[in-house]
Amino acid sequence: MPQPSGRTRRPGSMVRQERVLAYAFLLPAAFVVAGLIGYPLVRVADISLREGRIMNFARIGTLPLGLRNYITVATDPAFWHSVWVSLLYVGIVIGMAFAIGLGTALLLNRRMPGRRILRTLLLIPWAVPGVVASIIFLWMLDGSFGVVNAGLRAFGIAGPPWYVDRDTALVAVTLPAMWKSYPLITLIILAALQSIPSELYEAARIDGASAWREFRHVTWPGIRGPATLAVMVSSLAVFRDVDIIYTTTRGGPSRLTETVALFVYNEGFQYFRMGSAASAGLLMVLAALLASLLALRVIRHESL
Amino acid sequence: MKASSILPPRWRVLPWWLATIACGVVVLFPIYWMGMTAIMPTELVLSTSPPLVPHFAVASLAAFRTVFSIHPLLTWIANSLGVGLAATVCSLTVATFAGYSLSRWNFRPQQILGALLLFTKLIPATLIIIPLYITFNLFGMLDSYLSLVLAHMTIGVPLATWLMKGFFDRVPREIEQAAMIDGCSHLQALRWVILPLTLPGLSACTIYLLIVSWSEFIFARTLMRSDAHYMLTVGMQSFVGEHEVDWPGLMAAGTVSLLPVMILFVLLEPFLVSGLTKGALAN
Amino acid sequence: MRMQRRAFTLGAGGLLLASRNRPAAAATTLSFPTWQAEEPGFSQWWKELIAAYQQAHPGVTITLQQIAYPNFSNEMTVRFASNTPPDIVELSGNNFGSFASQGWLEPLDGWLSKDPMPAGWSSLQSLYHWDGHTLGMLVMGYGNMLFYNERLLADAGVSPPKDFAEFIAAVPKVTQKDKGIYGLASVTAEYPTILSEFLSFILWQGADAFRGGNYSFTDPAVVAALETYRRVVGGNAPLGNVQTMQRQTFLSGKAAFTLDGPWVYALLKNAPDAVRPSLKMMAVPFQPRTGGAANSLHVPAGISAERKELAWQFIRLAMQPEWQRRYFVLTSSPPGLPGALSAEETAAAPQLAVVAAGVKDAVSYIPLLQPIQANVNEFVQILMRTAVRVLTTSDPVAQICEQTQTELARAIPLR
Repeated sequence: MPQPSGRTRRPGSMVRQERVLAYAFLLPAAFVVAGLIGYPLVRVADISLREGRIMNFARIGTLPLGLRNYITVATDPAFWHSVWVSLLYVGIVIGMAFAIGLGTALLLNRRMPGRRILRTLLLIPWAVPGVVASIIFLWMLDGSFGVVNAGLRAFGIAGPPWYVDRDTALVAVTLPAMWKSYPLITLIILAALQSIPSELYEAARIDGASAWREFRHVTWPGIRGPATLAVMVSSLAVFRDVDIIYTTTRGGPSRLTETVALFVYNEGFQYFRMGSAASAGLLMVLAALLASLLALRVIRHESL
Repeated sequence: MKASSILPPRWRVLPWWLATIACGVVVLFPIYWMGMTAIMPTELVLSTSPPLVPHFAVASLAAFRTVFSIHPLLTWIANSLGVGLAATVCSLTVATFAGYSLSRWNFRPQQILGALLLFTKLIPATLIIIPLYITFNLFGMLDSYLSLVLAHMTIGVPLATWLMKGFFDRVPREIEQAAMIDGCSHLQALRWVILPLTLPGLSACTIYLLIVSWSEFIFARTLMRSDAHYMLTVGMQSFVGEHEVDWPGLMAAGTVSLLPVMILFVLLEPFLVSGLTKGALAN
Repeated sequence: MRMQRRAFTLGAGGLLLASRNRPAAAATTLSFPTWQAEEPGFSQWWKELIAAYQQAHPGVTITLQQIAYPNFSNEMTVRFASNTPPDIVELSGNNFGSFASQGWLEPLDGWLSKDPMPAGWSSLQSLYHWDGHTLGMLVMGYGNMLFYNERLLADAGVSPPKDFAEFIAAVPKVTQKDKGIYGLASVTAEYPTILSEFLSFILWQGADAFRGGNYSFTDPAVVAALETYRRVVGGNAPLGNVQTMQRQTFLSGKAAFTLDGPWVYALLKNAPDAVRPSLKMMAVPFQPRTGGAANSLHVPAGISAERKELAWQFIRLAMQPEWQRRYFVLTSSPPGLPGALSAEETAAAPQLAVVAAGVKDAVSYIPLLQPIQANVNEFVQILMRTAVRVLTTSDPVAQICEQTQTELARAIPLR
């Protein structure tokens, strides 16, 4: 994959001019994003360092500064539990979304009748608003009145109340999320698949390679980069999502589906502990930042 | 593979086609169920033995009629489309410039700024919603479409920038260098030479940005005050009352809300796949 | 030229002076967000009330704004936290304590000393006493009602209970789980309204989990009461139900009893034709009558003095007996003055008398202890988990009570 080099030998004034242009082109985006998020982020950081429980944002500045919020959050077992739940939640959702995305992309890559319609249809879950998706799944998986359990009953299996049972709630909560997450991954992988030259496949077939070897040596290298980007972006989106869990279980039963994002929401909007919410939120952002940097480093190493 | 080699060549795709159809059925079942709940009486759908196929004797489109007459569903859709299109156009413009910058130049602070852009996607909306509200209130911009467009831009621009960067990376620098030797500035080269080559990339970003706007909820709920300005995602909550939930109505609204997006998919989908090819590979 | 200019300046100055002399209330708009602007019955009352108010106060308009119920609490939080509260505040259920503890609500005592609430006002108004002040007006305070299915009871040879002992004896007699018939439909999953039954069960058996202003979950009486709760509710109600399922179970004729608010009466019409005639409502025959305050009106502390005065005038109007009566008739829900009905109105809608009986002398199931009210969301979360644990596990109740006591004492200290 050819990367254009950014540095060429040029006289000093031209470099300066280039520099100005580079920043000028980038600045509108940086300004919009940083401007709108920057100030609130600074305020959130400020709130996280204020000890006390004032909810009136105009008056939070009167509270004393201190690290008590961070200590409270770091020593709260519920916070660490929510971190663990987040890891499980994101892991399951993205793992399954990747599997489904890869599978459907491989299927849709083949010439078949009605491929365009099938492609459009398989991408629709992406467009369903999170709240509607959650409610649909909530009803489909209801213990007594859900269609899924009715189907299981026809086979003589007594299905559990999926969203309420301690053993199944976390899995049940991942279902709407993976349903909405896979289409983006399908799209990106499918696009990458379509650009793998068919000569490579023919060469592999002439060499008598099995399906698995073909995948490993021809298909996978061609889609690895885009797939990783898709997975990373989807993970970030799932990590910070609150809508699906809030609508289905609100973090229950027994906080088994309470992710860090939900923990932050509860602390801020339900318990009016803005300081804890802010510090938990910032810790969460820092953790995700570190994880992403790590992931990027792994990607760069692999592609070398 | 083994099974299909038994079949004559034209039918080799059959197992895969069947697998795809099976996938489609499983994946689209919730949508189907949404439609069922919209047209069948609630006590039949939410019962211990719900019907799998609609009973046309009792099915009715009353929920759809109610949805349009009692609730201003069309207003919501129009609002969502309006804000979506505005946000998409603005985001695309900004992201195109930014992506070009990241692709063509390589100064340390500039690249770090670009990376930071992507990392803003880590921040949950619930964390910043109150300060953001205060900021907009300060500028008297509450309940204005502009505030929502700006909020949507902060969500969409980061990934759109990196997608466009990828597309630009695929275009060899020699092309604009040739144009600049002929006397074009960077800007002109971008506008007249490079952009037409990345048209597929622009389509890909367009569809991504529209979906971001279309399904955004938290900012839409907080920043828009009056009923006439409600977005679709917020309006859908009207079906959930304090004591009663209008299930058929909610599902009818949900079904209707898919139509604009489906039309969009059908229109843009050919561009999208070939577009993501060129950009994704470069990453 | 100069003369004309001077005339113009004088004229403009005169206009300015004249406009300054107009009363402050001229052309004022009060914002009033609510989740009931489109709810049948409620929206009608609000609109009638607003029309009457606007007629009595020319120059003042009230804009009724609809915010969907699921978003309402968060919306109000954002507005108050950013110091831009609406002019007239309606709050639902449990928001009051947390808002009051932030100093966001204006005390009404000054106004009430001149215009007190009408005689016979509901005892549930005490929910809005905070630090010795009255911070809100009760708009709707309800008592739990006992709904029952006459046919299921008759089939099991049981008559409607007259006290708690009869009730807990009757429930198991109806249950036939293999036929899908349950004695009771309850909230049996982690959902906020589970607390209503959970805490009421303790009170109905004469126990007190908040004796003397302290947590007393480890009282043997409380433990015994919760063991009954496990036996009666856990044993006879479908488990894993949130509120919608609870109502759906009762409405589809699968449960003999359900305890719920009086507004469920309006939902009975959704039951299938075969079931509807058997569904009846009665005031809970146990003592004490438990209930809660569902809606309230407040004046925010963060607006100007003139607007506060105007907002108070609105509340004052809503308090009048004729408007209270109108509320009851339009919404079938008990207002602050539940005894306000005339004889004809009661004859036309007999269930209103039942509802009024159900809220007489009602006590809030959430204890009126300030730390609990200020942290009610956390309180509900903790007890919600306890209730589900009692219902769905076989952990010893005494152990659950002890752990709950520790958790509560740590999260919401009472002293």
